[in-house]
Amino acid sequence: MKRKIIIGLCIISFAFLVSGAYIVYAIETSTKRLDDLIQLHQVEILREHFLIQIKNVQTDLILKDTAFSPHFDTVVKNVMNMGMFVDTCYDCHHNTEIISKLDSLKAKTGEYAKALSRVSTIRANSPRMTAERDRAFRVGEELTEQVGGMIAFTSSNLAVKTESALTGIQNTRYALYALMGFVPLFSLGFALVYIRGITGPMESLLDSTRRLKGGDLNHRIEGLRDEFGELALSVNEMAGSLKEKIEEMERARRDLATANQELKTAQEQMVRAETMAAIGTLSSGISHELTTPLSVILNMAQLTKQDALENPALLKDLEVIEYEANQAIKITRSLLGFARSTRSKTEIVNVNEVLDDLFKILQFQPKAKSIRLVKDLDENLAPVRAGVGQLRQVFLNIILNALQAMPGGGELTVSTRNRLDNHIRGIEIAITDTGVGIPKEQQKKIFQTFFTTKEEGTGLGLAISYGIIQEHNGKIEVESEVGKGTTFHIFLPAGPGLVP
Amino acid sequence: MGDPRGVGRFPRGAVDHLVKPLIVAFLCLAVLSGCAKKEPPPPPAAKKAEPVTLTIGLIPEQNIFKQLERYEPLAGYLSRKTGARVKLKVLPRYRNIIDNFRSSGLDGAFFGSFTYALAHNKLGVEVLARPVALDNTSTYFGLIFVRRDSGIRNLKGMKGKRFVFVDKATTAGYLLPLDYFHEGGVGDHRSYFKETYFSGTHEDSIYDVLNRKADIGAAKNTIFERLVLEDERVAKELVVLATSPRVPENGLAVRGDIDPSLTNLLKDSLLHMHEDPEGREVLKRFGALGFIETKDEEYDPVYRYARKIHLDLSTYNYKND
Repeated sequence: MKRKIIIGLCIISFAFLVSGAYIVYAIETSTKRLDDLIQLHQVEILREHFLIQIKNVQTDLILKDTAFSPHFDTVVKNVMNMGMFVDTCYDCHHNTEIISKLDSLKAKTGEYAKALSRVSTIRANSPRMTAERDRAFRVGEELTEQVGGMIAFTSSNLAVKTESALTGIQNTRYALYALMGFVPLFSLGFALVYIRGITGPMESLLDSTRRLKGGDLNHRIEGLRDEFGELALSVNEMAGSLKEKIEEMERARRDLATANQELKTAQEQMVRAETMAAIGTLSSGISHELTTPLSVILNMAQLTKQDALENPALLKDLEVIEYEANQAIKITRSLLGFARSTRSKTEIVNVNEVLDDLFKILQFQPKAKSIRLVKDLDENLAPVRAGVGQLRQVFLNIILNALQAMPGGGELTVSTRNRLDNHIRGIEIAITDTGVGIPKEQQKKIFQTFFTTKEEGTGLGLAISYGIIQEHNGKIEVESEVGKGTTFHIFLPAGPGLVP
Repeated sequence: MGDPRGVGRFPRGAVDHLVKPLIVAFLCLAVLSGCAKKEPPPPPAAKKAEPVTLTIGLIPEQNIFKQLERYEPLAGYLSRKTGARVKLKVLPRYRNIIDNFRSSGLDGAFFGSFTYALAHNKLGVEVLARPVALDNTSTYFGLIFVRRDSGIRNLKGMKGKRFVFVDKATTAGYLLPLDYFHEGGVGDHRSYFKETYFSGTHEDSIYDVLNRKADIGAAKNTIFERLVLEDERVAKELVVLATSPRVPENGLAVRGDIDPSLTNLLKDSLLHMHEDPEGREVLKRFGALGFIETKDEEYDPVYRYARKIHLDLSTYNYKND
């Protein structure tokens, strides 16, 4: 662009220079033509004066030796003036033909002067004097004729040259007018083209920067050249770079959010694990403490039963006591098992077995009594590597929720099967109830920590379950419809070497 | 005639019509270029004392206009050197130089030897200096000549012919022939010749014989020799029959009552002009090597010559008949 501007300025300057030079040339030419005309007129005047001078001298000659004879000095002056006229002519003319004519004129003038000198100086008899005077007069007449011819020639030449000069001057004037009109228009047009050449790319750049500012980082400036092209390239590169940075920032933000989420989940899991560990410990203690009195009750019932063989009514009551004590002992043992499982490490697990153990516990739940349990367990279910206690906790949370969702009774279906999820082999556990269902707007929140719809709920159960499944690189999803029921789908990867 | 460039008959309307746009353009150019020249104002005219005018007469040695042309540079030089305005006045006849001294008051003149003798005798003028010719001579002598093909070889052969003198007031153009006639025993030359007349100039006398307007002529050798260089016919077709003794070349003589300082200045200028380049240039155009001081005694040959032919200069009628 810089080069273009310089070239443009050079072109405009050149145009002005050429027009200026032409104006100077035109003025010089016109001036010369006028000068030529003036000179031609002067020549004409000069020759007319010369002719008058010759006639004066001729008159002097005629009047010589008469009463009207002019003073000799006057005659000399007239003749000298005549000679000066001829010499003056040489100042104006350089044309060979004219010079030749002037030479001839000068020679004739010299001859005339000589004859006049002769007439002035000679003293002789009358015929000789008359002859000399006649000769001088004749030469004077010849000179007059010669000058007259030259005047006629000059006049005709003057007319032609006057017309030519006037035409030339007129043409020059038209050319100057045209030039005075053309050069400003040319400069204006040129400047407009240049200005457009600058403002066009500027507008394009401004438009593009506005679009980039508006967030359209995919926009690219096209079609600009020179410095504007380089600027456009820089802006395009800047937009590209900006886009990359923003994408990087977005990725970082997502990663940060994920990390935060993971951190939070981990914290929750840790809290839950600690809580469960405490519950386990507590359960273990309670179970241990209850086992002894229950055993005593059982033993005492059995012993008393022997004593009450004759009392059927008492025996029946003792049998009830014995049965309930056994049941209570089973519960305490289950609690002990639960407490031990929360601290278990990962191992190869058959989920069907975990579910079966869980079903045993559930059958003692009062809420489960009005529920029909449907087990649809795949016998060929692949084993997975998992923490048994953790899985049990997950399943227990979901099943307890299902039971709560079916206060008036219902059907709880637990199914397992092998499944391929996103090219990952594993197993799916589906737990379906025919409960009240979960409204759509709550489905997204049920895995959030402390989200609960129950008055006595802690909002930890499903959150912990979600964390545990995540910890096992699995997935937990809910599918529910209000009034029809809810299904939890749990996917657990099979783990290396465990592919079914 | 006025300044030929100062007067124009170009129609005023046409000039305005054509020149106005040019004047505008000129003004623009002058403004743009910033180089408009301003003629410096003429210096205030210094009040100088009007220079003394010295009117110097010239005798028609040759064609009067040619004579003026020859002496103009010398007059200009003397004007510059002396501070006086040296003005030339050519005279149609030799005798006028005596008349003009009386009637017009000439201050001086380049006299021929005989006219000086007359003027010294009648007017009391004093000669200052005379030129030295290119052949290093400062004298001249008279010639009597005829056409080579005329057959005239002596006075006897001249009888009944046409004789052209120069002027009664010339040594070469009149005294010599008179002496020649006197020596040859011709008392009344008017009756001896068919026609005698005065051409007025040495040059015309020579050309009259050359062009057969006269049969015998008399003139001074310096003019004759100058014409020999200009026209080859002069040497080829004319033959000299007699010569006179040498007399001083035409010298500048001035009135005795002129300011002596100016006279001395004039004389010094002439005597030293060959010493400066400008003077040498003027001398070259004049056809001389320089000027030498001249005294009245140097004209003794003229006086003797006049006496020989019984001319009384104080009463001599120098007017041509």
